Amino acid sequence: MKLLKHIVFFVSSVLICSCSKPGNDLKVKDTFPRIFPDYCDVVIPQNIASLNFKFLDDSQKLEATIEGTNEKITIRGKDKIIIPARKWRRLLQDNSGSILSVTIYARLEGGWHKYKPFSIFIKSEPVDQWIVYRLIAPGYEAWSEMGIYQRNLKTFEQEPIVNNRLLPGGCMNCHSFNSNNPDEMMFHLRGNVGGTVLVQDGNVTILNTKTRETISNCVYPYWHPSGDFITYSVNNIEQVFHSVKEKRIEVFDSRSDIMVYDIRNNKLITSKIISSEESFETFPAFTPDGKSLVFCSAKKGPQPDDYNKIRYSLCKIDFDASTGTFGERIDTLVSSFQTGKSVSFPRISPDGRSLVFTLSDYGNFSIWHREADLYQLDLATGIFSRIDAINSPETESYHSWSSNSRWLIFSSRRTDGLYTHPFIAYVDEGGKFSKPFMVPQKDPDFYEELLRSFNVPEFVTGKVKKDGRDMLKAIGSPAKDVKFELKD
Amino acid sequence: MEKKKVVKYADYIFSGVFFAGLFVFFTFFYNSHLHFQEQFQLFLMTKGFFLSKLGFPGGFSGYIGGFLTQFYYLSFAGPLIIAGLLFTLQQVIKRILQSINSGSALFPVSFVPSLLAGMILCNEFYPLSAIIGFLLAMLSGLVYVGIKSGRSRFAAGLVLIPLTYWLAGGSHFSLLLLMLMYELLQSSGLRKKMPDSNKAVNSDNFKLWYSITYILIAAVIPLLVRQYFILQPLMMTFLSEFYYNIPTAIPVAVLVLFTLPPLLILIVWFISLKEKSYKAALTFQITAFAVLAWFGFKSLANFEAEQIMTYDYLVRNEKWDDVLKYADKKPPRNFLSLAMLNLSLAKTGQLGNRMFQYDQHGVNGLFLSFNREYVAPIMGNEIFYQLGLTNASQEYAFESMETIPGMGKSARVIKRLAETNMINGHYKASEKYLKLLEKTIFYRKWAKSTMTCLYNEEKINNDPVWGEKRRFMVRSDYFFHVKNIEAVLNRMVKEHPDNKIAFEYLMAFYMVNKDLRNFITFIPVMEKMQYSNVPISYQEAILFILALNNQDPITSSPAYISNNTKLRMKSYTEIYTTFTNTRERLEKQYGETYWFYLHFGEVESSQVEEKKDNTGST
Repeated sequence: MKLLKHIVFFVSSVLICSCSKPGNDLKVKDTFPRIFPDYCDVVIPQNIASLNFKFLDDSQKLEATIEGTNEKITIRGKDKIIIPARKWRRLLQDNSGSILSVTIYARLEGGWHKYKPFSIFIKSEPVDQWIVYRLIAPGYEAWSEMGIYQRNLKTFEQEPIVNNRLLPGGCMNCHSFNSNNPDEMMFHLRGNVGGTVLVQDGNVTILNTKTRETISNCVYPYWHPSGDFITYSVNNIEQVFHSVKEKRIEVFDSRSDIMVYDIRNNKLITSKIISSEESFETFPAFTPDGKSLVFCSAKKGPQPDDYNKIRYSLCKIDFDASTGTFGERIDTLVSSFQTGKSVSFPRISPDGRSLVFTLSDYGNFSIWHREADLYQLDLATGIFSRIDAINSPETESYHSWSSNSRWLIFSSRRTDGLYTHPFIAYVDEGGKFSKPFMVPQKDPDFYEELLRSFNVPEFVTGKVKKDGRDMLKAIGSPAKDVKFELKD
Repeated sequence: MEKKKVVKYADYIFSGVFFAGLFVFFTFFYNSHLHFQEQFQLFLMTKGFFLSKLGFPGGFSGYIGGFLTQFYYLSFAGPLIIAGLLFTLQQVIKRILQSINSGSALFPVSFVPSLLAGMILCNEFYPLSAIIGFLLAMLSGLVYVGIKSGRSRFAAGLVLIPLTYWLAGGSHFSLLLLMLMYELLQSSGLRKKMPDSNKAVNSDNFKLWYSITYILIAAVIPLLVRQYFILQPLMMTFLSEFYYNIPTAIPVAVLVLFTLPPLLILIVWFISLKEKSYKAALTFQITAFAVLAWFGFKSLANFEAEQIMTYDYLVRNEKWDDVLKYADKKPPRNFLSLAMLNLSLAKTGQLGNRMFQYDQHGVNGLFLSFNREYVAPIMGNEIFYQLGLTNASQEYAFESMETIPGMGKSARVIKRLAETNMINGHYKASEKYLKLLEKTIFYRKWAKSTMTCLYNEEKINNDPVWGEKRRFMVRSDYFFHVKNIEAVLNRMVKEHPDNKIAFEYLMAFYMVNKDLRNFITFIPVMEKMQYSNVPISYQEAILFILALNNQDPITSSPAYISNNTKLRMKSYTEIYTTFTNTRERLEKQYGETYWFYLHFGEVESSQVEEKKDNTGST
C-alpha cells in the first residue's frame, strides 16, 4: 500500500511536470505573439539592455527561446519574459551584426501554443549609452512630480539629474547638449528659482536670458558644434483647451523670434531677418558644420483666431561663427505652401546627410497633434518623405540623433494616445529606417503604471556628471544678466 | 491592594472611553475627512509599488500608512484603524514608561501621545504614515529599554537608529531623544528603586560616548543618504516625505509628538505616588486629560473642512438627495459646498425651484475656478461632468491630481479619467487607467466591469450615465475656460436644447448675476422645455420683469405663472413699497424668493468672470 502511494505520487509528479512544459500536443499558430512592448522584428544595437516583455493574452505559463547563431537560451515566466542581463549581453555580443530568433510558447486555456518566431536584428553600430529626458505628466497647467533624468541604455539604471523633489515648485525644461556631450548642457528652470542653467567647462552658471529687447526668456535651444553659441527661440506661448473629444490642448505662439546666445561674450544676438514682426520664427538648429541655422517660420496671424491656419515652413540662413553674423537671405527647404502642413523640430544628423522633422496639420506644438508624423529630408537632394517605418496613427513628435547618426530616438504616443514613450530606430547609411523598439524597462509593466511622459529624449555619449548637487549652489545665486545685440 | 484594583479598573475604563470616543468621533463627526484622504491616494497591490516605497527613508511606514488608508473607503474601517493604531501606541508608551516607573496610577500619562496623534490625524495634511512612523520608533524604543546590559543596549542602539530611520524616517529623532533621556536618567545616580529589584537596570557599562555616537549616527546617516543616494531638500532628508504632505512646511505637531516620549519619561521618573494619593492623582490626571482633549480637538479639528468634504463625498457618490438633506441641517457656508448643493439641486430637477432657498452669492456658487490647488478642481470637475462638458471635467480632474500636496496620485481622479477617456472614445488611455485601478482593492471590481465596455459602442451608448454624456457631447469646437462659462453654456443649450441641466445652469447663471436682460431671451427656450410646472424662481423673475416694464404682472403674465406666485408677488410688492425696513419684514416670509435675492442678495465679485463669447474660432 505504501509502495502504491509512492508510485502514484511519482507518476503524478511526472505528469504535472510534463504538463508544465510544451509537449507534443502543441498548437502551432502562424501569427506573431501579442507582446508588449512589441519587439517583433525590431532592429537593436548590441549595447542595449534586455528586451523584457509581457504576453498580452491570458497565459498560465510562458516560455521563450532566444536563439542566436551558436547558442540558445530559454526563459520561463507566467506572463512576462525577464531575460537575465548576463545571458542577454552575451547573446548580443556573440550575435552582433546577426539575428536572434525568438519563439514563444504559451500555455493558455486550451493547452500549449507555439507562436510564429520573430526576429531581433542586432546591429554592430552601437547606440550612445545614455539618454536624457524629462518626465512630466501630459497635463494642462499644473505639474506634480517632474524632473530631468538620465538612463543607461545598457542597464536599467535611471537617476535624476535635477527634479522638483530637490526644488519644490520648480519646473525644469528644454534640456540640450552640445553634440551629445554630457559635459556641455543647458536647461531652463522656472518657478521659485528661475533662470537658464548652463554647464560647461566644469562650471555651472545660471543666466537671466530675458532682456529689455526680447519678448521672453530664451526657450527652445540648440547648440552650435563649436560650443561657443547656443541658438534659442524666444516665444510668447499660450495654451488653450479644446472642447471636442478629438482634441485636448492647443499650444501656440503669439510672438516668436530667433536668437543666438554668444556664450563667451554673454550676449544674445539676432538679426531682423530672423526676428521679423511679420513672422513667427522658432525651433532653430545649427547644421553640424555650424555654418547655417535651420529654423521654422510662419506668416504671422492673429491668435488664437487663426490657430489652425498658422503653418510653419522649414527655412535656412547662413551663420558666421567667427563674426557672429547672419546671412542676408533665407532659403526655404520645406514650404508649408507646398505641403499644406506645418514643420517643427528640425534635427540634422551629425553626419550632415539627413534632416528629420515633425510635420503636423498646423501649428508648432506637435505633441498634441495626433496626426503629427516624422519626415526625413535628404539634404543632398532636397527631397523629403514620410518615414513610414517609424510612424504610427498616434503622435510622433520630438526626436534626436545619436552621435554616430545611426540611431534616432523619438517620442511617440502610439501606446495609448496620451502618454509619450521613447522609441529608438536604426537608420542605415542610405537613410532607410527600420522598425523602432521601445526603450526597454526592467519590468514590462513599467510604462503601464507610469503616469508621466518622456519628454525631449536626447542621446548623450556618457553619464552626465553634474547633477542637482552641483547645480544647487549656482541655482541659489543671482542669475547673470545677458546682454543683447541686434546684428544688422 | 484595593487601591491598585481601583487603578486597574480605572485604566480599563479610561482606555475604553478614550478609544471608543476616538472611534465615535471619527465615525460620526469626522468621517468625511477619512474619505477625503482615501480618494487622494492610489495604492497599488503590486510588488513594484512596494519596492518603490522601500527605496526611500520612511518608505516602509509610508507603505503601511498607505495600505491602511485605502481602507478608509469603508466608513467604519478608518475609525477602527485609527483607534486600533492609537491603542497600540498607548500600550507601547505605557510599557516604556513602566520600565522607568512601574507605578500604575500614572497610566493616564501614557495616553498623551495617542491623544496628540489623534488630533494630528484631524488635519488632512498629516498622513497616517506619520503615526505609523512614530509607532515604529516607539516599538524600537520599547526594545531598547527592555535590554538590561548597557553594552548590549549600545549595540542595539547602533542598529535601531539607522533601521528606524530607513523604515520610519524622521521619527528616529524621537527614538534618539528617548534613548538619550533613558540613559541620562539611568546613569544620573537618581535611580528609582523598582518595587521588584530584579528589574533594576544595569547602566554601569553604558558610557557617555555611546550617547554621543547615537547623536552622530542620527545626524550623519541622513546626510550620507542625501549625498550618495537620494538628493532632496534637507528637511525631507531628515524627516522624510511621509510625515507631512506639504514638503516646504515644518510639521510642528509631529515635532511636538517626537518630543513627548522623553518628556513623559522625565515626568514619571520624578513622580513617586503613594497608594493613598492614587485617587487624587488619577482624578487630577483624568481631568487634565479631558480638558486637554476637549480644547485640543476643538482647536485642531476643522469642522468647516469636514462640512466641505461631506458635500464632496456625497456628490462624488451621486447621493443627490442626501446632499439636500445635509444642506437642510448644515447649509453651505462657502462656495465649494454651495456649488455641490447647486449641482445636487440641478440633478434632482430642483435648481429652478429651490436654489434661492439657500444663500446664493453669484456665479462662484455655480462654478469653481482652478487656482493651482487640488480641492476646487476635484469638486469643480463634478459639475462639468454632470453638465456633459467631458473635456472640461477631464481637465479639472487632471489638474487636481497634479496639485495634490506631496505629489501623490488619486484613485478618484484615475477613475474619472478612465470615464472621460472612454466617453471620448480614447479607449487605450481609458484602459491604462482601468488597469491601474485593477491593481487596487476597492476600485478593482468597478475597473474590471468598466473594462468590458471598452470598444463596445453600444454598451457605452446605452449606459444611462455615459450614454447621456455622449449624447450631450460638444459638437463644434471652441476653447474652454471657466471664465467664459456664459458663452459655453449658451453653446451647449444651442447644440443640445434637451440638455436640461445645462439650460438650468444657464438660467441660474443669469439669475445669480441679476442679469434679467439675458435671462428673458431664454424664455422661449424654457417654454420648449416642456416643464409640467415652470420653476418657481423663473416665474418670480418673469413677473419681476413684467413689473419693470410697467406691465401689470398679475394680469399680463403667461398662463404658466401660478396664481400662488402672483399672489405672493402682490403681497411682496405691497410690503416692499409701503415700509422702510423692508429687508427685515420680508426676510421671514419671502427670504427664499428670487425677488428677495434681487433686492438684497449680494453678488460677490466673480472669480469666474462673465465675458462675451471669445472662445476662439472653430
